[in-house]
Amino acid sequence: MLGYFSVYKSGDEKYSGGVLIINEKGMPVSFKYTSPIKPTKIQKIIYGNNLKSYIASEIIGKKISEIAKDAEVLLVQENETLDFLSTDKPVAQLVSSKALSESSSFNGKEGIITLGQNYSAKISFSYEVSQELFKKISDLAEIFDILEPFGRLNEALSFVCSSEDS
Amino acid sequence: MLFRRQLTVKEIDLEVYSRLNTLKFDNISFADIRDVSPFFVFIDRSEELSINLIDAGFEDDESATVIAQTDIFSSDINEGCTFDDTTVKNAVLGVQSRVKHEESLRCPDILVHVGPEVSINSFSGIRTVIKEKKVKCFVVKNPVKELKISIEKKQILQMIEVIVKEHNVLISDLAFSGFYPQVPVARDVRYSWAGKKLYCESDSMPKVYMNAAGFYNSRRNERYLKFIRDPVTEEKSGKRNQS
Repeated sequence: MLGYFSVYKSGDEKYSGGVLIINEKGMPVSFKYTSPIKPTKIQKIIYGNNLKSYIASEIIGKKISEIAKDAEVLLVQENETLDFLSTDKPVAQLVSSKALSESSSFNGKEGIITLGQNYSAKISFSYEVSQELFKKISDLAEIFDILEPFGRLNEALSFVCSSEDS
Repeated sequence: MLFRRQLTVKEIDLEVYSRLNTLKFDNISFADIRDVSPFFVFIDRSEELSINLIDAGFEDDESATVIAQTDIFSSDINEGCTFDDTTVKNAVLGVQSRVKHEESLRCPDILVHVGPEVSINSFSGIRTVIKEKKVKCFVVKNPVKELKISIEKKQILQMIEVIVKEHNVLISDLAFSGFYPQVPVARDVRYSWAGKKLYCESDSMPKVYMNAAGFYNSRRNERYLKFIRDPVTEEKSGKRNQS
């Protein structure tokens, strides 16, 4: 199963992180998220520019890593998020790519996955992984749009931040 | 005549009248009178030990020249009010003699500077809890050029014929747009299109998944989905039904 991880920052500076677990058919199995975090002024001053990375890695990242046990690999969108997660699972940045390729390619750490007929995605792992794992992901990319869940995840986190009863 | 000294505490917009506690000045001392503003008692050297209370007023033939001045001291004194004890030097008295001696000023209690109450709050970081929400079954499918199982042209043509019959369209208007692997099949699955992408949404987790083919009607700008009969899958489901 694939775990989609994202940290969302709302307009009023609330932070929420979540993980959406997708099964082999592309169907969501679970969605877990952190309650919205609204840093105080003093916390903003103390953490300064490191606030987001602190929240993402120390607060959200650690907790999410614990609850994403079902996921074989954690996928993130932002490159900086790649460093936030300290987990024993492989973490990879997955973004859409302009590179058009007839077939998927992989060099141990980075690869291009063809999505449908005219789309492709670039995957960059935090460390070298097996060809087998890459093939599994690229096979899943044939079954469902592996980039699309990020949109749903961020939409859900946006709702969490804006919802009062979250 | 009453001499008084007005201290204006600018910072807190407060006016007080205070008395001089001590003043080492030869011919001036203070009367200790309660409930009124302090006033001066002059000792006239020409008439030793003769004390004239200014408060009682002067007679016409009195030799002392007194210039009444309410603001005896320079305004610098005002700033002294932020301190418990202040020494004022070189003030000018109303008698036009310069005070070269020292005077101790004591602020009234209400002006005693009280430091802000300070408590130490340790910074305890940021905490959050994990929550879980139910998610709708939703998947987006991209078309692929080929499936892992081989599909014969004959099968594609059969599907087109079915679409022509069902939707009353011309074959020439239809175009094959791609295969969609493992599309969920259930009564409550709702299918929709966004370009070539196929959206499948359902309220419950579908148990059956089938390969499908997509077709596009350029005249009507419509898309059709036809499931591909897979002998292997059908055989499996047939065995399941028998058991």
